[in-house]
Amino acid sequence: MGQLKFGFSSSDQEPPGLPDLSGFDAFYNLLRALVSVQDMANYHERLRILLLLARWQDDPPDVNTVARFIGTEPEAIAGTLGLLRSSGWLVDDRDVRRYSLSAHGRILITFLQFLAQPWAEGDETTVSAELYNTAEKLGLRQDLLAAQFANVLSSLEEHARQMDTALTSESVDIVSKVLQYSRQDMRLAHRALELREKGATLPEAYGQVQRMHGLISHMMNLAGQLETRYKRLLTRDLLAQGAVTLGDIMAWARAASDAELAESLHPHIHVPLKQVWAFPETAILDAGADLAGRLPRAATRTRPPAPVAHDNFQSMPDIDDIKQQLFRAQALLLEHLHFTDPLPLDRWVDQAVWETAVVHFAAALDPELRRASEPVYLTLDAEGKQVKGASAAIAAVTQGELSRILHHE
Amino acid sequence: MSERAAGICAELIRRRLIPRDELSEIEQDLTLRDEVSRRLSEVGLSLLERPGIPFWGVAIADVFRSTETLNAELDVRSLGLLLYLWLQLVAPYFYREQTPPEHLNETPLSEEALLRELPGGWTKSGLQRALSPLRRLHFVETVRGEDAVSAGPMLWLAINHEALLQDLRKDKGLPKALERYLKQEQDRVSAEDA
Repeated sequence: MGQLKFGFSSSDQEPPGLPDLSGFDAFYNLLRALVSVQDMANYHERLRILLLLARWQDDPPDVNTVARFIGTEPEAIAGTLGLLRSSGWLVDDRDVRRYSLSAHGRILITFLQFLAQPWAEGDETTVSAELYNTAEKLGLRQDLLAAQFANVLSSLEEHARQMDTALTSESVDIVSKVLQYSRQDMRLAHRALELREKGATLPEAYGQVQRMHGLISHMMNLAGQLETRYKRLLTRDLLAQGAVTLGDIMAWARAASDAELAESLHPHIHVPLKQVWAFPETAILDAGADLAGRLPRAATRTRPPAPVAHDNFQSMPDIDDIKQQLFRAQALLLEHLHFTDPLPLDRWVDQAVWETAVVHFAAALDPELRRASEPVYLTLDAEGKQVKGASAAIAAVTQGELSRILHHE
Repeated sequence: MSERAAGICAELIRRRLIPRDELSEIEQDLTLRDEVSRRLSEVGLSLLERPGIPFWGVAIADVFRSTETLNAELDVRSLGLLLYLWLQLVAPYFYREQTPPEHLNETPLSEEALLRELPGGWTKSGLQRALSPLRRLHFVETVRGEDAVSAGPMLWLAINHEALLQDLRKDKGLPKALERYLKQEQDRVSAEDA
C-alpha cells in the first residue's frame, strides 16, 4: 500500500520563498472564535453547533431548534450563536433569526471534519476516499469526483490481488494483516460506492459502479477464505506454542453439561472394580441388639455415629476394621429406625456420616433400591421385626430374604 | 512363584488398591510382576500402576471396557463431576509436567467452592449423591473434619492423564484459546482505532 508523504526534503530542492498569505486573513476571526474558549465544554458546544449546521438539510433553523438538537436551553446558546455570527462563521436572517453557515465557515468546518479522522500513517487510498467524500460535500465537479472514484477503485483492485496472494501464505502475521486491511477496504469500498451512486450523473459512472459492485463481491469472498485460513494457521500456531491453557479447558468445563464432561472422560478412564461387601446379615441384628441394650435411648439418638468411611488412604485400615465400623453404623441406623418416623432415603443419604451405612444397608436389601428414582421410605413394623417400604421393590424385598432372616432371628 | 502370584492377584481383587510398600516383592521381582499382570489379564483385568503413585491398583482391562460397565458404577452425573475434580486436583500437575505430590490428597477442595463453581443444577444433596460412588471407588476422599474432598488414589491411577489432557487441549481448550486470542486481537485493534 502506498505511503503518504507530506512536505519536502532539503536534499531534493531549495526551500521556497516567503509563502503568500493572501486569503488567510479571512480565517483569522473564524479560527479565533473557535478557540477563544474558557474550557473544552465551550469548544465542544461551538463545534456541535457548526457540525449541526453543516449537516442541516432543511430551511435554516432558529435558536430554539438549534438548542433542541444540541440538547440545551436557547438562553444558554444565544450568546454563542451571536459570537459565531459576528466572527463570520454564521449568517442569519435578521428578521426571523435563522442561522446557516457562511461560505468560508462551511468549507472550514468540512475540512476540520476531514482532519479529525483517526488517521494512521500510511494509506493514501483512505485519504483519497475521504477527500472524495469531502469534495462531494462541498459540491465539487462531477468529472473530478469520477476520476477520484476511479483511483479508489483501482487501488482496491490492487488490494484484492494482495488478498488473493495472501491466501497461499503460511504466515499467520501476513494473513492477519491482509485480513485486517481487507476489512478497512470493504468499509471504504462501500463508502465510495454509496457516495458515487449518490452523486453519479455522468454516463461512465454506471460502469464504475458495476466494477465496484463486482469488486466488493470478490473481496467478500476472499475475506471469507482469508478468515478461514487465518483461523486454521492460528489454531496450528496456538497448539504448537502450547498457548492452550488449563484455564481454557476449565472455561469449557464450567459451561459444559454432565454428558459432555462424561463423554470426554470416558475413553480415558479405567473401569474400576466394584466394591463387594461380604458380611453375615445377622451381624447387623446382633450389633443392633447390643447397642439397644447398652445405650440409653436418648443417648443413642444424639450420639454421633461411629465414623464409617476411612478417609485417609495413606493409612488404610484393615478390611475387618472397616466392617466393624460398618456394623456399628448400620446397627445405629436400625435402632434409629425403631424410634423415629419414616424418613426419605435421600434425606438419610444427605447426612454424610450415614451415607456409607445407608448405601450398604440398601445394598443388603436389594440392588434395585439403589436404582429407585423416587424417595424410598423405610419403616419397621409395630414389633420392630420387619422392614417395610412404600415402593413395590421394597415390598418385594421385605417379603423376601431380609424378612426371612428377621423372623428367623 | 505361581502360588505367590495367585495370592497377590487375590489380594488385589479383594482390596482393589494396595500400598506399594506392602507389595515390595513385585517392585523388585519383575518376573513375579509380569506373572501377576498376566494372570489378571487372563481374567479381563489389568494391573494399574504409575510412577510416583504409591499404590498398586486393579481395574477392568480396557478391551472389556464398555459404557455399560462404566455406567453401572458411575452415572453421567458422577462421571461429569469426576472430570471436573480431575481438572482441579490432578490435571495441574500433568499440565505443568510436575511429579505428583508426595501426599496425593494434599490439595483439598471445599464442597462450598465446588457448589459455587460447578456448572448449574447442583445442590448440596445432589453433590453428596454424586460424590458417594466416587468415594467408594477411591477416586476422591473426604477430608476429615471438613466439608471438603481431595484426590483419591484412583484419580491418579485409573485415568490416562496424558491422553486425556491432550484431547481436552485439542478439542475443548483450543476453541476457547482461539476465542480468547481473537477477542484480545479485536480489543487491540479497537484500542488502536480509538
